[in-house]
Amino acid sequence: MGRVILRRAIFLLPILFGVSLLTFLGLHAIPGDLAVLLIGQDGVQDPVALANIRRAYGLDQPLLVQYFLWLSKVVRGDFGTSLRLHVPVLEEIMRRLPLTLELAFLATLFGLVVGGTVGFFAATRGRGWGLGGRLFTLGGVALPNFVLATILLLVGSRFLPFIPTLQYVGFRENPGQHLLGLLYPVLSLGVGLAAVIAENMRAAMTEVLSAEYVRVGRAKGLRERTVLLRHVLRNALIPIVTITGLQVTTLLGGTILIESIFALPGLGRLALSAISLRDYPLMQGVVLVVATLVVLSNLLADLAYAWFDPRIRLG
Amino acid sequence: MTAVVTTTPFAAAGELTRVRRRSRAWNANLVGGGVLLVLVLLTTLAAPLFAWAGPNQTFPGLALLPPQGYFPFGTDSVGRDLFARVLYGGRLSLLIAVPSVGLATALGLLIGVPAGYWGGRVDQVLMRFLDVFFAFPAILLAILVVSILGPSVRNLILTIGLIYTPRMARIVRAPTLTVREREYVTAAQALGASQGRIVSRYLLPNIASPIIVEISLALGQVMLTESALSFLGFGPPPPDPSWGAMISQNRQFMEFAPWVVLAPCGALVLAIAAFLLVGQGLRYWLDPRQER
Repeated sequence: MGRVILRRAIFLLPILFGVSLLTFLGLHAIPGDLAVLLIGQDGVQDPVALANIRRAYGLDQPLLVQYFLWLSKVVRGDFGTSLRLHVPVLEEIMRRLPLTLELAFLATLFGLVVGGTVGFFAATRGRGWGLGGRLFTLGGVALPNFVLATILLLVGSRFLPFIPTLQYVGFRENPGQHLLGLLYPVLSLGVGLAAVIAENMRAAMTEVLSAEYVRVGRAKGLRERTVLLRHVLRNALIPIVTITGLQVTTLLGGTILIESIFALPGLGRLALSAISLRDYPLMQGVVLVVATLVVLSNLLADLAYAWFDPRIRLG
Repeated sequence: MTAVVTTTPFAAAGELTRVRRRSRAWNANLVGGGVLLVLVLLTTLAAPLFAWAGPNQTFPGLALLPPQGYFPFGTDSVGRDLFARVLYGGRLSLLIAVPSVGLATALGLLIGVPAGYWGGRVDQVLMRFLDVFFAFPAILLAILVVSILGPSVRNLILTIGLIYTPRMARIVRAPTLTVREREYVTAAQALGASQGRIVSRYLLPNIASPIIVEISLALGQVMLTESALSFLGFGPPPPDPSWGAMISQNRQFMEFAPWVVLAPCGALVLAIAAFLLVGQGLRYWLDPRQER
């Protein structure tokens, strides 16, 4: 297993390289002179200071040289300094990352439990559950996360005033209030995920139910419970792992909207403010970290897939 | 051997009848989605016929009116008719969604067909290139590109079209890979048909179904992306009505005037659901062997 993980990780290097190149070049396509942005409005009149800034940031070098200079710093953990916050970019990202990961983890958990349950019953119970499952899928997919967040805020403020909204409480300050405050954000992110998982779960269950070994299991007199849990569910969960891994991209994109709506100090909100304020090194850092998270979670899904299904052998 | 030969046609015939029967059966997704879609298209594209007020026309002194006779969805904080704004907003949203999906489909065909048809190194390079794009969340890429290009309807179309291109290319490539192995393609090659003829006469008609389905699903997705962008302030510049911007700007009034957010929210959900249902309905209709 160790060697497999290493091989897959090496496989990721070209993708990460492409991601870094795209991030770098894309942000250099932003119109306007970076040196002017760095020095601020007051220094623009001073050509010597401007030239010094250019030299200090390597902006007088060819683009390709600039890229490799930047990359060599990035791999050593130096993402530069934020133009607006005046702190190292990596430090700010690491401060924001735990909340976003917590949000993504809880939303995934919600999606797996709720979506898995709905999909399971939609495939095994009668028509009522089948129809209910389809309505759940349709509603969950058609309801954008920011619409759901808005409606939760509207309904919650009227009927559930004890749930804190729009004021973030740290976990260390008050764990209960912290988790309660994450309820709406997790629901907003998790319902869409649950819908996707429910639909795939139902399809996977239906397919496995028609397999020969299920018929054999029933024929040799296993209890229906054993057939469903030991044979059908275990095999139906295999594709769900991949689906969930692929949804991480959407989930991280969703945190941009959800964290701004609920005023949560996470990575998504940092990305939005960095882009709005044209905080160039911060933008590059956040985009790179988000893309790396996506790539890593895809790797994790691949490995989990192999672990769940011994028939799959990763080369 | 003979037994196999004699039984297969019967089995196949039975299978075929079952498939046919199923394809004629009530396709609730297609019918329901179709009705919804016609409603959405009719009311938004022919907005001036339904809304008597203009989308940016203000009625001083009539701000935040609840839904009533002249204002079926009520009015917003500056006294504009929400019904008119929702309908015109949908028109603008479609005006962005249709060309951007068109752009993504055209580019997706240009990348996906060569990748799938010639395979080999072309395929390898193109697919690795696309893998890089899948590492970025669509909304993050969209915000970045719009902030680089500047927000305008034209730039939104360009941005969203480019972001959906990798997905479209993958959708095009998959069936191309299987169709190119079919006997009729080999036969055409053996007869000396030109590559252009093979692609246009044999390949494209046979990969059309999944692409048509994806176009419908993508239209819903693109409307969602556009509204998310305008929710974050990267949409069409004001005062043009846009559902996402209406939701985010009206949020501060929603506690005492909930209709100001419920109207655009409802319209958005209905439009996305319509495209989704039609897409799923088309999938079963075009390929009845698909499991429901």
